[in-house]
Amino acid sequence: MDPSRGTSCARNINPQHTTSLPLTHQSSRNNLKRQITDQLVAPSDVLNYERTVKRQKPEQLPGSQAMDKRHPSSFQQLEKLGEGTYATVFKGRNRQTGELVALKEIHLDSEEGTPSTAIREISLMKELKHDNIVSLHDVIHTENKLMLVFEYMDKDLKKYMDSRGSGGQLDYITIKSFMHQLLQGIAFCHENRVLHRDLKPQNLLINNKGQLKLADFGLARAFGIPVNTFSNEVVTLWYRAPDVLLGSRTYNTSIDIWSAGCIMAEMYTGRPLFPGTTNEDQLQKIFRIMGTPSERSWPGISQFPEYKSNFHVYATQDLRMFLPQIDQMGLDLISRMLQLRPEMRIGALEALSHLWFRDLPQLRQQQAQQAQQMQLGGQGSMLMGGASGGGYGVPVYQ
Amino acid sequence: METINESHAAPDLATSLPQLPRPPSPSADRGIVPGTESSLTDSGTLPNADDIDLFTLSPVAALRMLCSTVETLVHITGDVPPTPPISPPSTPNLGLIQAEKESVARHTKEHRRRQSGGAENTGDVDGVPARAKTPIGSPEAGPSEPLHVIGSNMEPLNIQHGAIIRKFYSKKPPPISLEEYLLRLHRYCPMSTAVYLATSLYIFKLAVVERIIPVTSRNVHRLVLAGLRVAMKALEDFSYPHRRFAKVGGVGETELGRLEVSFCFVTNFELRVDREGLLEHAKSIRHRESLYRPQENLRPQLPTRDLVAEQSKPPTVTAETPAAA
Repeated sequence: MDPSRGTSCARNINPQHTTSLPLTHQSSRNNLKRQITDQLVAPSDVLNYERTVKRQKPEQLPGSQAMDKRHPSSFQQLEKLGEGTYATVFKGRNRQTGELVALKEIHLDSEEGTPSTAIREISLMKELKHDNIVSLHDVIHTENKLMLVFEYMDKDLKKYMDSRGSGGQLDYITIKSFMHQLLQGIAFCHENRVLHRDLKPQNLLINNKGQLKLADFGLARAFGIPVNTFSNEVVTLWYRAPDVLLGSRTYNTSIDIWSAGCIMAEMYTGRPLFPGTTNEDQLQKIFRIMGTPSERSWPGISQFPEYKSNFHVYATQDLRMFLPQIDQMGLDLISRMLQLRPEMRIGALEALSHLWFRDLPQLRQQQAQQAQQMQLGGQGSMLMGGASGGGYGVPVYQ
Repeated sequence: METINESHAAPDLATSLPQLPRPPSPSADRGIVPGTESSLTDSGTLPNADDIDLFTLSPVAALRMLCSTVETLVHITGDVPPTPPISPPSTPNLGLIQAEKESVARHTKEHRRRQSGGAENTGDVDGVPARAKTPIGSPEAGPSEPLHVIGSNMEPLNIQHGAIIRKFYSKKPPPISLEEYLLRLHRYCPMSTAVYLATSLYIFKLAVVERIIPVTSRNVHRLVLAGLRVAMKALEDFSYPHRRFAKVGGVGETELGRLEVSFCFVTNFELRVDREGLLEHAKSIRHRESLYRPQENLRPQLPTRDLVAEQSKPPTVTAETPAAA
C-alpha cells in the first residue's frame, strides 16, 4: 500500500458494528451520522452520544476495566504496515486523543480457535510494562477477530539501519544507546521470568525519540514452571543460539543474550553476523568464526541431539576482524554475549553494568547538545520520516 | 537505497546475502508432542502442603488439586442459575438485532458445515475412539447465540459479562462427575502440572477473588475445559488439535472456540503464572483439605485398572535456572 496516500485510505473499522444498520426511518439519520463521522478524525462518540452514555453505566464488574473500554470505532484505521499468516498490522489513530497507534488484527476463523501466539502476546505484554517494551493499550474482540492496540513506533531496527544510508551501519553512540535499551528490555523480561525467544532487528522498534522497544511476544513464554513442552523450534535462524541449534529443549534466558550479541554485531556492520540458510549451515557459520567446540571446550556437548562428531573443525577467529569499528571494551562485551556455551554467556543485568556503558550518559548529553545546535541550524536531529512497519510480529511487504 | 548499500559492501557479500529466514514455529517441533502413555503411570500421590515441590508434583496430583478446588467451589455455591438471557430492549435496537440475526445465520451455517463435513460424529479422532463419548450435555446458551464479547457492541459491560458467563452453563448438571471428566481428559490429552494448577488458580480467582462467576454443577465442566485449553495455549509450546480436544471434552469445535475466547476475556487475559503463585495456590489447596476433610475421604478414586503399565515418569522439562550469573 502506498503510504503517501495517507489518510485518504482511512476507513472505519467494522462500521457494521458501530451504528445501526439501515432498516428503518432512523437509518438515513444514522447514515448521515456515519458519513459525518467518517469524514472526521474527531471523536465519533460526540455524535453517537447515546451509545457513549449507555456504555458508561457504573456497575462495572471487577477485573473488566483495563482491556475493554474502547469500541473499534474509537480508532481510525490508516495504512497497512505489514501482513503475516495470522495477523495484519495497520497504523491507526485514536479518535478521542489523536494519538497514533498500531492495530494488530488477528483472525480467529482458523481451525484451531484463538492462536496461542495471540493468547501469549496479550497475557504477557499486559503485564510487562517497561520503557523498553512496546506497550499494549487495548484488546478488542469482534465477531471473528481480535484487535490488539499497541503504542505506535516509527520503524523497526532493520528499517532504521537501512535508512541511515551507510550500508546499514550505525554510529558508535547510537549502537551503545540501543544496546543499553535492548539489554534493559531483556533484563526486565528475564526478571519477570519471561523468555522472548525471537529477538531480531525486525522485532525491535524505534521511535523518533531514539527509544528502542522490544515487540512481538508471540513466541515468548514464562519459564520456571513445571510444564511438559519446551520447543526447540525457537528464534529466527540467524539469531538462534548454538545450544538451540544443537537441539536443546532445556535452554534458558541465555538464548536471548545470544540474539542480542548477534544484533550488536549487525549494528556495527549493517549485515547479519551469521546469515545461515539451514540448521547445519547456521552452526557452521557460527563455528567458522567462534571456533568449533569440543568436549574439552564445552563439556557435555556430545550429548546434544544434533551434535556430530564430524563437525568441521575451525579455529577461533578474532571477532575484531569482522567488526573493524569496535573498541576494546565493546569487543569484550560482545565476546561475553556470544559465548558458545550457554552457561558462560553474560546475563542481561551483568551486561548492563559492563564498563562499555559507563560513558553512555555523557555521550547522550553530548549528542543532545549537538542535536540542539543542529535544530538551531534548521535541521532535525533524528529525522525518520517515511513508511514504517514490521516489528509487531508480521513481515512487511513493500 | 539498495545500490548505496551494495557499493559500500564487500563484493562477495553484496550478491550473496540471503533473505531473513521465516520466523520459527514452536508448535512445529515434533519432539514436544506428549505421549498419552505417560498419563497412565502416574499415581497422583498428594504431598502435604509443606512438602510440595512443583517440579516433583505429578500431573495427576495437580489434576486432583484442580478437582478439589473446583468441587469445593461448587459445594459452597449450590445451584445458582445463570443470568437470564439478554432480553431485547423495550425500544428495539434494530441494528443490534440485525447484527445478531446475521451472526446467527453465520454460526448456524458454520455449524452445519462442520457437522456435515466432519468425521466428528463418525470416526476416530486422533486415536480417540468415536464411541468414547463425553456426556456433558448441551449448553444452555444455544450454539446460535452470537458471541458479542467486550468491546464489540454497544451493550453495557455487566450485561456482556452475563452473556459470556451464560456460555459456560449446561441446561442441567452433566451426568459425568468432574473427577471422571478430568481423568478422561487426562487420558486422551495429558496435560502438565503447571496447566492443571494454573487452571485451578484461574477459576479460583474468577469465583472467589473477582467474584465474576459462581461455580456450579451446571457450569463447572465447561469452565474447566475452557480453562485447561487456555492454560495450555498460554503456558505450553504444544497444544492439542482443536478437534481432538473438543471431542474429548464433549463439545463441538465451534463451541470450544467460543468457550476459549470467552474464558480469555472473562479472565481479562490475566493468564501469566509464576512459580511462586502456583506454589502458594497448591499449598492453600492442601491446607484447606487438611482442615476441612479427613485425609481418607479426599482422595479422589482413580480407575486403577487404567493406571497400570509402564513405570516411566512423564518427562517434565523446565528451564529453571538462568545461566545468567
